[in-house]
Amino acid sequence: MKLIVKENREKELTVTVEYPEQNNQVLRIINKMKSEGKFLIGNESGRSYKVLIPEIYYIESIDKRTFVYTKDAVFRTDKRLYQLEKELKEYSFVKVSRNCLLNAGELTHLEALTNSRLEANLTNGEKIIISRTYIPEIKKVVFRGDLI
Amino acid sequence: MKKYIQSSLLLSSIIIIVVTFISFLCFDYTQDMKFIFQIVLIAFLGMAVHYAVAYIFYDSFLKELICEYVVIEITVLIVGCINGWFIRSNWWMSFIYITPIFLLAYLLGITHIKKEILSINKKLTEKTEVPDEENK
Repeated sequence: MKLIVKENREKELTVTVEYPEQNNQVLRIINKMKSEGKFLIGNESGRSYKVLIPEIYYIESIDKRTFVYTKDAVFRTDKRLYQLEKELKEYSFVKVSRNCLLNAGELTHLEALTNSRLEANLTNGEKIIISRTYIPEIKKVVFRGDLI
Repeated sequence: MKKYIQSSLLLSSIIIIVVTFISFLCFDYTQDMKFIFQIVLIAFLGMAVHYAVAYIFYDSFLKELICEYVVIEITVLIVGCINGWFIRSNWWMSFIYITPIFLLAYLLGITHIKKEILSINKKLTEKTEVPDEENK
């Protein structure tokens, strides 16, 4: 892959992706570019922060409150899980249980435990419980090939 | 072999339902037809229970399994009593039929999920592997 970086003060920031054929790598780059700069507003200890979408690992709803988890921080958001599900659909977010939305780009592997529970292992070492009924949805997103 | 058995069973279900439906349209409504339609109905109800219970108890497998079994048992008892599948005093007979069906369906479900997980994991591994041209 060739990377061409040019400074042009007259133009706004432009990223052009040229490819001989569209494959998963190309889709991934395009999706990364699309999500670049997109963020959610998260609150922590009374302060508001911009949480970049590619940095989100998963979003969980507990007692009608929604929490956004990044690699090493947790933020609270005023949005409900179903709203976020709609908003983040175009990125690689997928519902994995009644109250959890996972960034499939941060998924390393799935595991069926001996007690028949299913676990999703994330790149930061965290494990989250997933529901059997959402397996087809997860498969769809993973096989789409544009994980961020 | 497994795929062949699966396809054959699926085909047999389609044949039974379609033949029964055509016979229902062309001839008299017989007890056999009634029984097949009732089985289709119970299958619809069973799947609805399965998805609803999995949605509610996704974090506790044991709760999910017990609740699913109990709700399906009650559903079959009610439908069975209404349609006269068994005499009311012999209601316990429903357990003899439901338990093996439940176990078989559960084992099939688990096998399917494991297969899906394997294919997802394979795809995820491919994603993390760096393509050869990127190493050049």
